[in-house]
Amino acid sequence: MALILYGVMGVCAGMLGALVGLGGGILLVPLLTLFLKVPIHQAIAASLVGVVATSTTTAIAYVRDEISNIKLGMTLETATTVGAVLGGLTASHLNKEALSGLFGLTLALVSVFLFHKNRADRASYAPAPAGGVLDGRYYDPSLGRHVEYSVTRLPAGLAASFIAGNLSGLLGIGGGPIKVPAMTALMGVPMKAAAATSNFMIGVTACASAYVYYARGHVDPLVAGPVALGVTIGAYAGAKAAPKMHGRQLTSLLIVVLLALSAQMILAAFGLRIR
Amino acid sequence: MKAAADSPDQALNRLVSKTLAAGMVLAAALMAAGMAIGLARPGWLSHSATALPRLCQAALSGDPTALLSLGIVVLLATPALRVVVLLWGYARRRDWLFAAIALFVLGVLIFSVSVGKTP
Repeated sequence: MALILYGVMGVCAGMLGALVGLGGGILLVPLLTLFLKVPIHQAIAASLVGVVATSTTTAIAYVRDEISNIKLGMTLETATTVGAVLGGLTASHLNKEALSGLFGLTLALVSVFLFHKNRADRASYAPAPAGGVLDGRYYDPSLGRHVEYSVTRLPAGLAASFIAGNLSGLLGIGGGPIKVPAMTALMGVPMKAAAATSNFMIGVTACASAYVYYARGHVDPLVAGPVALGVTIGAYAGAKAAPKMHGRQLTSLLIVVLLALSAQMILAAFGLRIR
Repeated sequence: MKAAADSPDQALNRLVSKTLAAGMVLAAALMAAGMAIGLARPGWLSHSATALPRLCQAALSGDPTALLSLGIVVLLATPALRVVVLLWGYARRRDWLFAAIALFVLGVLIFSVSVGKTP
């Protein structure tokens, strides 16, 4: 039964994603198109619905515990949503070969991101609070104290957010691998706050383009429903299991999987299929 | 709660968190019901999302496609609702800069619903 199959794909993508700190959208589109032969526009739409589900579920705790910087998130959302709408509109003019090729390249970039994250899993940030309206603070239980930080280079962050939103709408991914490094490396936001803020923004960003796909009739409820439900369950289970797992080996394994999927998507762009 | 008890945003953050939780639970319940009925009666399923005007009525009659569609619509409305909550929260405390930012994001979301319809 196809419903179960889509649900299981969602669980796998959500769980693997949560174990290594990705949303799962990056795995959903290749899994749905390559293995279940879902047309790519429908797969992107289903993935966006799934991304909204995981982001919303995760944000419940991040927002309640005040780890997400909501003011920073809202400010950057002005750029991600505009990017996402343009991405969603562009996608409906691109054929499946172009989208597969773009997705393949993005998968390769995300594996580079994971590789770097795996090697240096901490980021430096400016501890000096400058009194700006976007400055944040959160409680870090592993340090046992509040971490305060000030936000710098807002224009660069807005530009990166626009690109992240654009790719999100175009390919049905969350865009965390662009926003998180932009916030940590450019804007001086600590890793934990950056990840939680990126996650907070993803729901609204994915929504902006999901509306475009929905109105265009690309949301197939029989695919998107089970995928959204599955990815939520998978992400929840993955987040619970993550502290007990060997993150580095798992990330290395996922890098190999992403590169393999990337090669297949690029081959699919040229009409080739090796399976 | 030890997390920033002195934060002026705490009440608003709680409200945002509750909004997200309520939307997510309702959406998941609707989608789970749709999947369960769909698995029991595969003949009732259809690949096109149920049209918005008759969505609630069809979902109430137990149509699995309509239940899945309604779950997706509720899910997709949840982040928009959280923008509305923030807009209200910032406006109420006269934080006009962030109220304007929230209004802009809401405007983009409304625009994206209308722009998708014209191919």
